[in-house]
Amino acid sequence: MKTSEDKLNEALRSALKRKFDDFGDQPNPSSYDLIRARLKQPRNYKYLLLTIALIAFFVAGVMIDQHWITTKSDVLSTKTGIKSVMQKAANLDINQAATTKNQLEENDSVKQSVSEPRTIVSSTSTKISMSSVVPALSPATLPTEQTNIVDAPEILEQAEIAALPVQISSISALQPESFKTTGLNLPAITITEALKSEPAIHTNSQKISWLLNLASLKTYQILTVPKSGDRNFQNFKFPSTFALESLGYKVSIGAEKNGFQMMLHYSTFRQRYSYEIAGDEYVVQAVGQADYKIVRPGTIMNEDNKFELLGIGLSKEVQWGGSPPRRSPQRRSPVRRSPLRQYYASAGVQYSHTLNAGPDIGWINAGFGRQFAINRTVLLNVGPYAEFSPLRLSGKGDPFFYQPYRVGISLGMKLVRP
Amino acid sequence: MKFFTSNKYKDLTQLVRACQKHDPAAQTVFYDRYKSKLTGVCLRYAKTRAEADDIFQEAFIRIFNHINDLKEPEAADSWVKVTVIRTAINYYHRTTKEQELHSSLDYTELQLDSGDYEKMMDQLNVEELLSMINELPDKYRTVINLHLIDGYTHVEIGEMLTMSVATARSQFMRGRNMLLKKLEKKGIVHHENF
Repeated sequence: MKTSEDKLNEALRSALKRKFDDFGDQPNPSSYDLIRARLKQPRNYKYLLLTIALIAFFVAGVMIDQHWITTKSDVLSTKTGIKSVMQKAANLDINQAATTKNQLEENDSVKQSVSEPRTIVSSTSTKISMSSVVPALSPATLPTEQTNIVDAPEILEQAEIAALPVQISSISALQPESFKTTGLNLPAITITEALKSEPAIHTNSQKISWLLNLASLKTYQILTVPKSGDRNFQNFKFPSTFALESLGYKVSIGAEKNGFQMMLHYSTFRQRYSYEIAGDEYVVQAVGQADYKIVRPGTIMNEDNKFELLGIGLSKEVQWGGSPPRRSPQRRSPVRRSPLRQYYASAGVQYSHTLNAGPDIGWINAGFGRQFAINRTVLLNVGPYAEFSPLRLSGKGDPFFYQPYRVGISLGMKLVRP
Repeated sequence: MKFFTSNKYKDLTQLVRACQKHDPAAQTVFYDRYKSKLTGVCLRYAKTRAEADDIFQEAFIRIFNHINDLKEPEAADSWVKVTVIRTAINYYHRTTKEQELHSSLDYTELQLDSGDYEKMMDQLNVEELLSMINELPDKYRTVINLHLIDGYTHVEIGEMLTMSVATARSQFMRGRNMLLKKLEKKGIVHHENF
């Protein structure tokens, strides 16, 4: 049974519901902009995938780099290790050599198809491994009493090394006395013109290379509008995507060792946008004949800040993709690849001090591109480059926060020491 | 679905699904669909227009940021309304200082019967009624809105406002009596004017 209180509540409820069930009003016209400005940014999988791809490039580059370093170190060790090769050969027992000779005869066809290594034994029992680099050198021309053919695996391995003309020529420089034999009549070694003209740049990562980069960068920004109790901001306008007014440049110089680059940077960029501080008036404007919209006039504010930055950065560069393989037309030597890598990718961090009274900025940067050889000591690289500030910075004279990011093209020159 | 002005979203489910994918166009349509109604709700729960704007913006940010929690898109109408109401409650939890609510309204003697109050309310326009509700202290205003207009029980109100059912009931009684006194005062003035 309903009491008088219940009846009163029911009467109030029905009256209020009648009044307020369909009650609505127009919100503040700038509300939607403010709401959109404060929404969580959705996860952008494009950027996530790009990041993963960059990391994958980086890891793959490092792995390839390690592989090349290993291969290169094998080759390079022979530069200083010809002597050790000869010592290895010298340590082989003559009896063992005789046994191996029999084996060699049995496997003659195999031996011929590989590299036809021959060993010349000098009077001091030093053996020099030579391959078919010298076509004129045939078994018939070798002094038989001092010649022994050894098919040791070490010698076979070094056959390719000995095939390098430069390395062969260095043998005499290493131990000229070992060639002082009366019966040994070594033919002259000729280097073909094709080999002479090949641009072989030996980039030794252990040595310091000098760097100079120029980049043209377009600056964008993520602007955050914080909640402001007494002021409402509206109608933000930014330069168009391809506007030249926000184009900046960056000059960098530095040094590189082992792929690590230490650079000094000078750069400029311009931050330009406008917005309105909403006033207290609401103006109803007709839209067509039957509709209307409410506009809140505001005071237009223009921001035009030019930043000059001086910074220092550390980045790691990896390279991959050797130049097309070269094969000497006159030799049956194995295919060799140029030490010059065609592609590079780099990623790093940078700290910039603003020269004209602005906030200091930290950056994460990444780039990749193509590398060309100008001559034996100069490499040129070109490719896209981007950098992003992961920290939100306070605006100059406004209550906003922004995160700049720059995208553009980088052109770099690297002076290497072969 | 009279609200839909875009052919892209055929029904509420499609619209909600698009908002869950952070589609800006869908968010705009969604906002346009609810902005008027939810502004009305905010104005009821808020003390001033400026506070209503704050609650409205905060509620919509919460709606868009948590719309993935909405598992049944067809229930979006009630979900957005509940979200706005809860945002208003949180707003006053944060901003309201402890108010002196222990007036002697328990012993207020009501002059009119229930039918008279109903007639009086019908004679007032929405703005006048809204103004009376807005003048109530925050907790009373909230409870009056929750119980009389939005249909929550005292048990639900106790849970929402983290208070006992008895407290919720007594606050409602005090708030209601304060509103009735305002109505009486307004009614007498109204009667004298006409």
